[in-house]
Amino acid sequence: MKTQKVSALITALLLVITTLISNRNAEAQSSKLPCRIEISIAHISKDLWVKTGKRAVKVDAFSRCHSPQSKVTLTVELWKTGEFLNHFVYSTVKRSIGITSPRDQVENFDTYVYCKNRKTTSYYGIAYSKAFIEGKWQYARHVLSRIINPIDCGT
Amino acid sequence: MAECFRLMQAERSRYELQAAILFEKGSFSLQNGNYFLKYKIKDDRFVWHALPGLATENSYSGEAPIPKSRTEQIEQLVEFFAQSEAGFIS
Repeated sequence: MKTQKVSALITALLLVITTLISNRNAEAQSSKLPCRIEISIAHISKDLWVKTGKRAVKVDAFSRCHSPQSKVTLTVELWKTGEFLNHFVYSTVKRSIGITSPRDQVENFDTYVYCKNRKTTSYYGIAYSKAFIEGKWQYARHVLSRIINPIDCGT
Repeated sequence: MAECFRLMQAERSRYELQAAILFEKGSFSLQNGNYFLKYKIKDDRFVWHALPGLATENSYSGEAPIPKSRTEQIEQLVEFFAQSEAGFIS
């Protein structure tokens, strides 16, 4: 019985240590990633609403790298949740030519769809990119909107 | 985006004609300012590509799922054509 307790304690300790080490490695890796993508929460475009009185759901994304990047391709997808499956709504790709310096970001603010009615729908965005950095192609992983946002906007 | 909305209203009849061409041929292209716009039906999606005339300009593309009914498809394409012609935030 005592041996079993000691064995369980050692296993638990090993699990904690392994988790701590892997978390530390993940943090170190993320700070070393060559590029960072951010995508907004899906939202109703205020600018369009003010200018035209029309409503559209929109997601914005940008990519920024630690090193100069060229041939950047930034893809932004707009999705809505469904009862069983989520549904693809619209996507845009921006292919930026030339070199983008580490101070600058490549933006894709062109992913939007007009609302057809006021049906409450939950939307989110996905963004990913590829770029030529320091002589090789780098791929940034898919990033999702932080929050899946219900909006009174049927599409 | 406001330009896109304006185009959807002002150019609706042209977009409806373009939609008919796209359904018939599966693809077509046109010149819009400095950009060459290509449209096609690919699997279950409408796809557009905006290719610049100048090598120094960015290029863009977009995709949307094809709705089931013909009425919805035409509405989708009207918005789709307007989005591709409205210009891009560079």
